[in-house]
Formats: sequence, structure tokens, C-alpha cells
Amino acid sequence: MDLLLQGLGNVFQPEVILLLIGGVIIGIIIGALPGLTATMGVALFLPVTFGMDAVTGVLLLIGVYFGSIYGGSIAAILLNTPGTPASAATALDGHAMTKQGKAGKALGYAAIASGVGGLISVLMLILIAPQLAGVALNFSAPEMFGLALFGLSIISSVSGGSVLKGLIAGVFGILISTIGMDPMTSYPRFTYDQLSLLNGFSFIPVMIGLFAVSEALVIMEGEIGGGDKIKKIIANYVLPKWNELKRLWFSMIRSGFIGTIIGIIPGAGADIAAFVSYNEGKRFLKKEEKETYGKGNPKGIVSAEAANNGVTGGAMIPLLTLGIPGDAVAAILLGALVVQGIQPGPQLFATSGELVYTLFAGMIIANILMVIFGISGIRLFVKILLVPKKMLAPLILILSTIGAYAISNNIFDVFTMLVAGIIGYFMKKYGFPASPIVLALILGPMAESEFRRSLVMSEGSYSIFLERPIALGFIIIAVLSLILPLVWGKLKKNKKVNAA
Amino acid sequence: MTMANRVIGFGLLILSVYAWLIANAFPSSNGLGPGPDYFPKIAASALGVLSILLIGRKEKQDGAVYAVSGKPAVLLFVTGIIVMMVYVLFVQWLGFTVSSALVTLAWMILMGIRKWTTLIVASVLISAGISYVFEFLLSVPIPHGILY
Amino acid sequence: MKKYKFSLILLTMFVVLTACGGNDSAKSGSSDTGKGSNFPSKPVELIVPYAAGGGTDTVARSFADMAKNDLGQSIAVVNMEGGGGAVGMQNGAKAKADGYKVSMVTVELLTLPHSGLAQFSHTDFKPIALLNEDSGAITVKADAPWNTLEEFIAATKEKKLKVGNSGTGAIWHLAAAAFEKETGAQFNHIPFEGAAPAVTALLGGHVDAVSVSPAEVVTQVQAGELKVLGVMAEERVESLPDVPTLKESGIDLSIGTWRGLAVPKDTPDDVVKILEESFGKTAQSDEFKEQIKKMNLGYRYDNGEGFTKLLEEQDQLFANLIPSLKLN
Repeated sequence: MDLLLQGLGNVFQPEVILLLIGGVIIGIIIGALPGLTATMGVALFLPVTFGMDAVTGVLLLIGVYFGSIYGGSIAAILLNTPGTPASAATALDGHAMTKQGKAGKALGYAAIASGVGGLISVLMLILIAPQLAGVALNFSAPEMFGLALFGLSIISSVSGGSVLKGLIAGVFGILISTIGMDPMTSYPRFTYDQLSLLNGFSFIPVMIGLFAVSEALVIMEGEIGGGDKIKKIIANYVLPKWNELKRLWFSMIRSGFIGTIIGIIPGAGADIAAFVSYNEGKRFLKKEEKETYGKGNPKGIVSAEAANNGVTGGAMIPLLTLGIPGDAVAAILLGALVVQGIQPGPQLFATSGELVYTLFAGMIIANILMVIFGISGIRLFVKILLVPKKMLAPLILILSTIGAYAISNNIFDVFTMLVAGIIGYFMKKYGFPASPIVLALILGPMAESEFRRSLVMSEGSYSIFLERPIALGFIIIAVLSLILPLVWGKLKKNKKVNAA
Repeated sequence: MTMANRVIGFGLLILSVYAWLIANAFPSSNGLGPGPDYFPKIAASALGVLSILLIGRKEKQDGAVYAVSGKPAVLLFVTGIIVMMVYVLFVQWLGFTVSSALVTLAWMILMGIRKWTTLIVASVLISAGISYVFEFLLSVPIPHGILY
Repeated sequence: MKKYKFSLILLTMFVVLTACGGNDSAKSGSSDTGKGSNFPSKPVELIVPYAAGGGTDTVARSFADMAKNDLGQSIAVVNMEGGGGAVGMQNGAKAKADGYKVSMVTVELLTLPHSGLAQFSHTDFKPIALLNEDSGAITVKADAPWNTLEEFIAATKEKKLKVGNSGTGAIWHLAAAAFEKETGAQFNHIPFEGAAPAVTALLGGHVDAVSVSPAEVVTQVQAGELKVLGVMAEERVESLPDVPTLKESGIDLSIGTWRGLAVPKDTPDDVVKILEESFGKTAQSDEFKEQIKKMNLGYRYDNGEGFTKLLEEQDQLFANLIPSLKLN
């Protein structure tokens, strides 16, 4: 405890606090811009930290990290275009609430949930990191396959109206995800000798196209077709009330835990956590409420946002205790520490105890700052709804273009975004949900490579999946998740037929 | 939407058959575990089955899908899409800032804004603003072509 | 409302005027076709064919940060990962040969073409500077029953051991395969997406050994979690002074990775010379040497000529080795 207080003391230096504030604000901006992701934001500021003292530098990056994971929800809620992949699930209920004129509340829920999720994960990091780190080590290929399969089974939850169309989108996504070099043997699949396709379709431009560009097209179409005569609802500025928040506590805490655990698993990041938690949120609802999920239920927003910020602390657990990054951003943080000569790993607590506790303190403060800026910024963020739609559409298009380009300075990504945008537009028109494609692009390659890797490890024996409890558990839940709703549906239909 | 389901379903069916055939040419298992052909074939088969289901699906409400109707509006919208494609193709050659200003201009005109002050001000500020934020504030290089 | 609109119009005019003015100066700055004396007049791009945060990326970023002082222009790192390095290096080979597109290349530049996984060749590049070199090593868990390479090899003859590597066809896979060829050991090669996940798998007991470089495992070795049985180098490595080389154990094998900077082969000579001098200075600076040491990597510098020689020698080596390994 005194170590923590000492850490807090280190953080409350003017220079450090200023950098944390700056980092969080920049992070929120980066996260909010569709096209720039948390990983990119942290990578952008990595060189800046080389000249700084180790802790200050890492705290700056942490500020950017936390801020951007939260920031993605702003664009997701207001513009139906997730600012980062982690907020793709938030867009579902978040934008629905904006259409109902409750944008301010949605933003408020997102900010607070992000803070709660983040703080829970930091708490777990401080209190039980070494014990939890063991979880990271138990996960290898069969478990990752189970997790990926489980994640894919969520497709039915995020399908909105039509599960069939959701499944089609998902399977289409899986098929697309096989384009490129085969993960195990590097055999080029569906590449037609194009160099740019060797790595498959970069998933972020696809996401930007499916969500943002298609939205721009929808807006443009709407404006040409006569435009919305609906006046801007003042209610959008209203912030959430205390008793509304009280009802959401349990969802937030549960989601924070889910996010932390998924963050611990190396290779699973905020995007997976958000979807899994969103799905779990639905499971915990009473029957009557289940219908409202995806149409503006605050629990949807809160489940997704608490989980994606929960990953931030979770990913640091294996990073600090074992030197194994829990997600892509943690990998960059690892690089940042290594460059400074600090080796995260089992000896870190022993050799650099003060550094670690300063980091902990900094993370707590960063989460709090994030909530403060998030909430105080709501009035400002909502103003973007005032931008005339005729200007909003090209703005989104331009932001998406530069965002897609910025990932690898590759114009091919922009072409990908364009095609995805047109496909996304038609998908919106004909009732096909876009989230399953995102899930498939993230989880498809993971499922395939981990499945095949498991079989190489077991020298071809499928029993490896049966022998490992965690893997088996995930697989069973995944299969049940897929089959049960279908069976339920059939039973209900029979009942109706019998009753009629 | 029932008609659309049939068309889309049919298109997807063709896609899945095509994908399956190409995937069939990938090497099979090389000893330990399935080869590169395994997953694509499974995905293609699943897509095939689902697309057949889609073809047979009757949509309960057949409401209007598009907000644009009537030849002039549809024409404007299609022009908008073409302008977008031209933008993406030319952003490398012409340079990001200028192309963005042009596409903003074009889209606003298509959507009905006629006041030239609004058009020019919005196009310039939006594209210059975004260029500034990315290139200078965030040090993210933007595509530069013949013009800026 | 009118004032608001008016100021917007003023702002727009200001922006347009500045843009025109700025554009002219930018144009005159970049029109130094072939005039080496102006180079570099704008920021340089450094293509890294691997993901951000990894070993190659971190070396590139710290080098770029240090090199900008001498070079006079900032160096922006761009990650182009994929294909085990093929995508980024292919882009680098075909990039504009004006000196503003530098690539960080690694040993995969030589191994990928011979494995049929890439279309480029080292002759598509003009090497500028070699920055570091790391050998492979055989690492196992600290509590594993084998303490020497002999015991390890003997164990594999009874039952195939699982050896993790950084990807099919990547250098550590080749190193493990070469080890098999030299010693008659029998491995079950498990590919991972990079060295780090392989080490994680070893820590979790999901594989029996890894063939990656000492840099990837040294922290865990120091923490007592892993132990290195042998390094595949000519001499013992600085970070693991107590670990014998394979040669000392009677195995004639020395194989590893390296990292360096290169530009497309058609880059004008005067531009190449400027880059070589400036990068060479940074690479031989105490600051950079310190940095490499801090990251537990192996330091080795060579200029364009020396680097080219290394490429030619190793290319021969891999041309003979890879087909003989019968990897598929």
C-alpha cells in the first residue's frame, strides 16, 4: 500500500500529470476518428517516448491507450461508425440511442463504463496479477481455438433481425478471411498473384468501409432523397441520471471482469472482449428485455465499453509479470520498455518495484482522467450532430480514406475500404448486419491457425481438444450457443402452431 | 425484399461454388492436420447451404428499401457513388487535400447546396483541417500527388 | 450569424493562400532529381516488414530516432507486415528509388525467395548498413530433464520433441531444421506467428523447446524459468556467457538472423553515399551500441560493401541449405 502511495506521489509531478492529461486527450481524439486505432495511436507516440524518462514515457502511451479505447465509442454512438474496432459492438445500441434522441446519455454510459472497466482491470492487476498470469500460460493453441470458436458463435447474437442473414455475413467473412497466405504453410490462397493480397484484406479498412463509408453513402442517399426534416432533439444533451446508472452497476462490473480476463489471454484484445461481453450481457437479461437489446438498451453499451477498457489492465498483467504482451498495444508497450532498458518479466517487481507501482498509480489516474474528459466533453461531442448532414457525409468519407491509408501507407487499403463501403451500403439496405463480418475477419484466421497448430502439436490427433478442459469448455459453449437458439426457435414455432 | 433475397442468394451461391472449386486446387493435408484447402472449403460449403436457404426465404414486410426514388434522384445518387470511386482512385495522383476538397464540393452540390460561399468554405476548411490534423498534429503521412 | 460566416470565409481564404504559398516551396524542395547535394530535403520513410512492437520494429524505431540528427530530416517508420516479411520487403524493393524510401531488411530477404515464398532477390536492393546479428539457440524449460545438447538430442531419438519456431520458412524454423540435419535429432516443428508466441508456448509447457535467438529468451533465463542448452554462433554470446556454442559441442552449425538498411537498387550513387555515411555514423555511435546492448541484441556493423558481401555469402549458404531440408 505504501508502495502505491509512493507511486501516486511520483505521478503527481506537474510534468507527469500534464503528459497523462495530454495523452488521454490525444487518445480520445485518435480513438474517435474512424480509421485511427488504439494500436496506431500508441505506435505513433512510441518514438516520442524514447527521449523521455522510462515511466513518464510509458505513462504517456498508457494515457493514449486508455483514451483511444474509450474514444472509439464517441464516433460509434454519434455517427454509427466505430472509431476503433473495440467499439464496433457499442455502435449497435449506442447509435440506436442517438436516433432516439438520447445521445448524451449514451455517451455518458460509455464514458463511465469505460472508466469502471478500466479501474477494475487495474485493481485486478495490482492485487492478483501473479496469480492471474498463470491463466495466460495455460492458453495455447487448443484453448485459443476454443475461444475463437466461441467468439464466432456470438454472430447469432449480433445479427439483429435475421439470424440467417447474420450467419451469411459471418460465413462470407470467414471465406474472405482465408484470402492471403495460409498461416501455417504460407501457401497463397485466392491471391491471383497480387502482392497486396498476400496478407489478405487488412481488416481495419474493411471495417472502416463497412461501417463508416457505408454510413456516408446512406447519409448522402438520404439527403438526395429529401433529407431528414426531423429537428435536432435537445434531449441529446441530457446526461445520465444516478438512478439510471445504479441499474447498470452489475453489468459494468461483470463486463470489466470479462475484459480483464480476455486481456490477459495473449492474442485476444479489446475487440473480442467487447463482443463477448456484449453477448454475455444479453444472456443475463430477463426475457422481456431481450427484445430491446441492439435497439438502444444501455446495458448493451455498458457491457461493450466496460469490457474493452477492461482489456487495458488485463493485457498489462502478463506483460508485467511474464514479459508476454496480452494484446497488440501491450506489445508496443513492451517495445517501449525494452528500449528504455527495462525488461518486463518475473524479475520486474523485484528490480524495479517503484517503477511498477508508479505505473499502477498512473493507470488509476489515467482512467479517472478519461472519465472526467469523457463526461465533460459530452456537450462538445454532441455538437457534431449539429453539423449539417450534407457536410457530414463527405467529412466521414474523407476521414475514412485517410484513416485507411494511414494504417500502412498503402493505397490498396483505401481500395479495400472503397469496395467494403459499397458492399456495406447494400448490406444495410437489404438487412445484412455488418458486425458478423468484423467478427469473422478477426476470429476466422485465429480459429483456423490455432486449430491447425493444435493438430500439429498433437501430431494429427483430434483428441487434443478433448483432453484439455479449457479448450473443451469453450468448444462446448460455442456449439451450444449456436444450436440452442435454433432449437428454441423451432420449439416456439411448434407451440404457436399447436396453440393456433 | 423477397426478390432481393433471391438475387443475392443466387449470387452468393455462385460465389460459394466458385470459391469451393478454387479451394479444391489448394494442397491437401501435408501430413499433420488439414491443409490450406480445409477451411476455405468448409466456409464455401456453408455459404452455399445458407445462400440456398436465403433464396427460399420470404420476407414478411416488403417495404421501401431506398430513400431515393424517381430517375433524377437516383441519377444524382449514382453520380455520388461514381464521384467517390474517382476520388479514391485519384487521391494518390492528385494529392489528398485537393482531392478531398473536390469530393466534398461535388457531394455537397449533388446533395443540393447551391450557395457558392458555403460550398467553397466547407470544402476548403474540411479538407485543410483534416490534412492538418493528420499530417502535422499526428505525424501521419498523407498521400501527396501532383497537387498537394 | 453573419459575423460567424464572415470569419469562416476569411479563414478559408487564409488557408487557401497559405496552401498555395506552402505548395510552391514544397515543390521547389522536392524537385532535386539526381541532385545529391539537396538530399535529403524532406522526411525519409523507413519500411519495417514486421509488426509494431517486435524486435525488428523496435530496432528500426530507435535507430530512426537517433539517425535523424545527423541526417537532418526526420525518419518516419511505416510497418508493412505480412508473409513473414515478404510484403514489406517486396514493397521496399519496388519503391521509388529516390532515397526517401529506405527498407529495414532481415535474413528473410535471402530465405524467403529460396523457399519460394517471395519473388524478390537481394539484388533488388542496394545495401546501406548492417546493424545487428543474432544467432539461434536451443532453449528449454529450466526444469527440463536435459542439461546438455547431447541429452537433448538423445531424447529426440526416442520420441519426437516439439520445437517451436517463429513461422514456417522463417529463420528459426530453418535453424531447427538445419540442426536436425546436422545431428540426426527428430523434431516436430510447431510454427507460431513470431518468436514471442513460441517462447510463451514454451513457458506454458506446450512445446518442449524453441530455436529462437537468445535475445527473445534472455529475460526468462535470468529469471530462472528457461535454460539455454547451446547457441548457434561462432563464439559465445555476450548475454549468455556460460552457454556453449554448438561448435564447442561438436556440432558444426552457425546460423542466425541479421538486420540492416537498404534502398532500391536503382537509387542514384550520390544519394546512396549520403545515406551510407550518415547511417554509418549513427550505427557506430556509442548511443546506438548501448541501445542494442540494452535490448540484449547482438551488435554488428558493416557498411554497404561489407553488407553486400554478407548477403552474397549467406545467399549461397541458403541456396544450398533450403532445398536440402525438404521443408514442406
